[in-house]
Amino acid sequence: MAKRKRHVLALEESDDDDDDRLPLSLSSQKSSQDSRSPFERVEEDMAFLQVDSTRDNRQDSDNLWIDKFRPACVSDLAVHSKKVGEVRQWMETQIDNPLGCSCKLLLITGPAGVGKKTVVRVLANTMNAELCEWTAPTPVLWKEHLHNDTLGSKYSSKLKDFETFLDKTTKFPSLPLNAPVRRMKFVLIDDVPLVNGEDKKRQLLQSLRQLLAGAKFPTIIVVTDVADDGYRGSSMARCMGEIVKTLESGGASKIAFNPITVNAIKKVLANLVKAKKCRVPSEMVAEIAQTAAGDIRHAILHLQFLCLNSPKSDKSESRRRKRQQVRGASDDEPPKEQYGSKCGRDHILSLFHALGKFLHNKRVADAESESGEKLSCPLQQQYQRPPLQMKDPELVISQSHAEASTLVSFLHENVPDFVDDDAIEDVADIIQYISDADLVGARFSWQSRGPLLDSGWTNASQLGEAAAASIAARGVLFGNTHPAPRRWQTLRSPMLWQVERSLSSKKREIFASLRDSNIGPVEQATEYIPFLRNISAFTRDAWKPRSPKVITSAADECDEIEDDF
Amino acid sequence: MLWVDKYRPHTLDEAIVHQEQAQRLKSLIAEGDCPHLLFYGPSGAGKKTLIMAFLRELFGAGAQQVQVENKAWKVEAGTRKIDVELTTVASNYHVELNPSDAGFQDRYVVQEIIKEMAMSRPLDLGVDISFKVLVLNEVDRLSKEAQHSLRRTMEKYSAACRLILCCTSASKVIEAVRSRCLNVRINAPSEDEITKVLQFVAKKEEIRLPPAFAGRIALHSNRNLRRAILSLEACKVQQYPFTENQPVQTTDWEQYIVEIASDIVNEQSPKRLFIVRGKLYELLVNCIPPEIVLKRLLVELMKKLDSELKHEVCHWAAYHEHRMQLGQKAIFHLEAFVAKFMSVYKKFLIATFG
Amino acid sequence: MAPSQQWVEKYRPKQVKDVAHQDEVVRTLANALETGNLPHLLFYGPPGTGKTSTALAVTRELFGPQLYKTRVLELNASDDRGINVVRTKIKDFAAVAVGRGVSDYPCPPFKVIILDEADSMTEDAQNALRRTMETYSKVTRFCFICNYISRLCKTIILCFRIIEPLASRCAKFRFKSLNQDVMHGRILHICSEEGVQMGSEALATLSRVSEGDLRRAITYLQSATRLYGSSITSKDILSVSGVIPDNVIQSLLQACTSGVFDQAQKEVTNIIAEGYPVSQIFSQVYDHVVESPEISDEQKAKICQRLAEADKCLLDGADESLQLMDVCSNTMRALCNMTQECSYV
Repeated sequence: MAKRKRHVLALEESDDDDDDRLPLSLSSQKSSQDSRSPFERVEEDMAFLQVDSTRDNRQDSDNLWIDKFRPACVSDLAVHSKKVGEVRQWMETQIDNPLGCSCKLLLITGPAGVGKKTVVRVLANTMNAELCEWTAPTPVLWKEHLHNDTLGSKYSSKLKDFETFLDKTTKFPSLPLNAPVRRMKFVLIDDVPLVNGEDKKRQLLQSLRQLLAGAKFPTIIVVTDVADDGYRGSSMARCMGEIVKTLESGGASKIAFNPITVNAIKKVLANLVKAKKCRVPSEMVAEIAQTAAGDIRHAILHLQFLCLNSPKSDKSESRRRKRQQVRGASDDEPPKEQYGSKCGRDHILSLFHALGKFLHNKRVADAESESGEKLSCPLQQQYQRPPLQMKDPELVISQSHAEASTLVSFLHENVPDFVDDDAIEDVADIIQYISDADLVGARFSWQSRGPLLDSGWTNASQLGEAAAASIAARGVLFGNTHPAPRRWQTLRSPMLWQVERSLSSKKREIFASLRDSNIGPVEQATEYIPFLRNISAFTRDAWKPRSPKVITSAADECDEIEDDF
Repeated sequence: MLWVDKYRPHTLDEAIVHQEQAQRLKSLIAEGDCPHLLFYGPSGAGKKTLIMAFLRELFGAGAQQVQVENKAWKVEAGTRKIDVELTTVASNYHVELNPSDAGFQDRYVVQEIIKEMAMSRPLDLGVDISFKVLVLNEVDRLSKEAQHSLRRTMEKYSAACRLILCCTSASKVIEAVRSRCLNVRINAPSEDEITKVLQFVAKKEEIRLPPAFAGRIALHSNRNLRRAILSLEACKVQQYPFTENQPVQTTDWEQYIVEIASDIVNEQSPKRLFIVRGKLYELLVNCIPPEIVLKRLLVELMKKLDSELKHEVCHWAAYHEHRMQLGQKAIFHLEAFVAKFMSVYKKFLIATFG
Repeated sequence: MAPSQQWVEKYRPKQVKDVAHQDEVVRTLANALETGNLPHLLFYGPPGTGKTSTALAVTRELFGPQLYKTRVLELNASDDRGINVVRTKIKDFAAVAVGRGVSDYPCPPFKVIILDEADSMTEDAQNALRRTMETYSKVTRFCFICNYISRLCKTIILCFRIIEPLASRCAKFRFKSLNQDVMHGRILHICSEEGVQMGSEALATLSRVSEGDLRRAITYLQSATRLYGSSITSKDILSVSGVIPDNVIQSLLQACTSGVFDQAQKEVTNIIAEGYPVSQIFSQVYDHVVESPEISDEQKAKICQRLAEADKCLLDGADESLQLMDVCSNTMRALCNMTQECSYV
């Protein structure tokens, strides 16, 4: 309670202070909403519940098509009707039978820009239900924080805010029910705070669990998939995964949204074009839809950008050039290829997608390859392969945005599963290529660090990275002449990482145990420790068998004896 | 306290093996002329023991009162400053360190840290020796640049400081450094010498050691004295009184490699390779250096091979070990060797038995 | 205990005319000393033939001990000689104007920069150096010392060619490998100074193992004296030089000739346990193989190729025993005319 009071204090103070951005943004939101909000009696603290009614916001954001043409009814939605139906069903049960549902939590997952929130908003709208949205307050920058601190206001983290919010939704259940209008109320949580570190994560999970147990309104949590973009976001992905798992195990229903189909996007775009009366050829629309990778938000933004009118004249050279381009786009016939390929959302393949391509090694069947182009210099029989059924491996690698070492590790980990069990020769070749890749990568990243190339070593190491990835991918493709029969195979994440991690901690342990200068770490690991295990396993000495502490205690004893001398 | 530490000779006179080298070192001290020294020889031959005994001879018992310290240095490397942390073992008269622990910053470690140490004279001059001794381990693992710096340091500070370098393979120490040191080769003790030492230890411990059993321990030790003594103690713990044909204790990781070798010979398939990979990982996690794993594995595989195949296999072992040194991830190269072996062995089996 | 002095330093020639065996070099430089005009110098040749000694002696005679410090900058491979040093230290030194000379010495109006082991400088640094050379060649003379002229960066050599016709102030000197007589002379001189007894056999061994490298010969001599007292035998020389006794090499080659793999393996294990440096083994095996009349040229070629590869691998840090094993296996296959190719790949 004390904390909350302090926060309120901060709000009041900040009203006079223009520089104080965090509280200011909160308070301004509050004041602007209060006039429109149906819950004027909501206490000060409830300012966190920003009540969102989509229609009201329109004037503010007229210039963005995604806001302007936000779907108003279910038929406008591009999302697959089955998914919409699922959400609707859940919401209806909540309305019809508010007490009968064991769990008042719905989890919607899916990639970015597939309309997760929009579906909820539209449905709530059509059902005449109230939607309370939690959006995170503007984050506080460190500088601001310092400034605030001197003014006496305390920094409150996103996590803290979130907790407070959850706290409130469980603690003030009577509020909306007592409201004069008997509208059903849904809480929409869009932005689960991202947390770093085990402690914070546990804290977050704890509060979510509380929500599960004690939510008084039906609550919808929207989680954007991050797991897809491979290992780089792994800590984030893992955290998200854990949140999803916690919620699911707590009985929350889960609906996973898929990327929106190309056709659906095309339809929406075509309607937009008609509504705006801009002249965009249908091939263009098709291409935008294609490159959007299921992200309808992006597709609409892209279309709007294409249809932009040229900006007012500006004399600077760069602007003029840009304008020419833009005008080119808005003219009757926009250059066809230029835009679709350049401004399209980067076609990001997930790392796993790329790995699958390499490991499955799809090739054109023999008969077809005969008719294909002949090489000018024929290769020996053993080096001939049918053409690949994929784009250039290098292109696939660059689209996967994976680091070379990651890719190589993944290939190494998984490749034995994808080769026929009789073909050890193939695996031998492949591993050889992987070791080549390691050499190439090592060579560039290492030598360039030396005095020889003081400048430009980053380029060299980038080249080495690219070459290493290419060697590994192509080696896997080339070497695997007897692919295993296709079946469902899961990809493992490389054990190597785990090994490396535990190796370094083990190394530290061994270094720490090296009290005696007479032996080096290698001897300690290969001779002393193993023999000590043997020796101590049979004695009733103070040494505890097979525990890592053995060595330290042994060394301690040695020291003591030496001191006695 | 382990026997191997307990019966370590502390003075040059106590040495049982390498008596000749010990006497030479003694005469070197007697002559009052101490050059830089380079000790080289295989692991477990007694390099460090001799060095410590030499220091004791030079400075008296004070050289054995050592302190272990974890020191952090700020070293200027070109334009930036880097922090290097190293463990040193030091007495009033000498400092011992392992410059190769600093990784690819070893050059700066050698240049700066050694300079700093060499410039500070010993505090307590109980003996009339005006220099400090710096013991550097594993100089063969230093980069070439670092070795060049070392050479410069040797010349520059030779009035205040003597270096004792210690390494396993002298080939990896540059000529410029080798030629500035007095080279002392410490060969591995012969099996007879090891037997003698084992009997000496047994006598001190008042246990009865059958000569045949001592011989077998010596044989299993691969001429590594330290191993032999550790093994003797392990055997004693396992079964005493000794019988002549009781098993000689070896290390668990070596047993494991024997297991891996038979895994490889029994089946050659991607699946088996995957199993072997897991086992190799386990060895690596336990800090067994990959090159040692590979060498040991080669030895075990060789035992099972026809001589025709041995040439080929030993070539691939050398080939992949070399690449392992150049590469970053040892497991790739280790596994490349295993896969190659499987492939070769399978083809051999098909060619021989159809 | 007095700090011991390296004999190599103690008996370093103090004057140019003392430099052994390099008559042509001595003549030209003596002339330069008389006129007080020194060209840019490039010394190259095998190690231990007096390149550094000559450079030091020349500069010492030119400037005398007093001015030596201010007029001569000596940099060798162990100093940091990256591009930054060239940009700062060398350039600063080269740019400073010279002061007045001292009587008794010629003290010509320039400074000298000695770059020992110039071939180990980075290429960037060498390129940067070229500019400095061109700019300050009036007030600064450069003296490059290297083992192999081919390893020196092209621009430096080019630089020499360019400056040459302009001022005829550049001189390239090739230092010859010392022959046995010269070597014996120097060694015996040192022996008599230091009171060391040495038989003719030991002397012959010493000059053989040092391969025309006088510095190495002197180092061996001093080490042997330290370890074995003032009476030196051939065996003592061998033991300090790290040269492997002939019988070890012989038995290794014998095992290879036998064609029995396990025997070769045993020899290899033994050599490793004895702690002999494998690179040394390689070079001695090479000598034996090349000189042997019983081995055909084709066999020699096969053996030597693998030796060369293995030596490179050692430089890369590869394991000694595996490389030696591989070399032996290859030698065996060559000597016994077994197939060289891997049959099961």
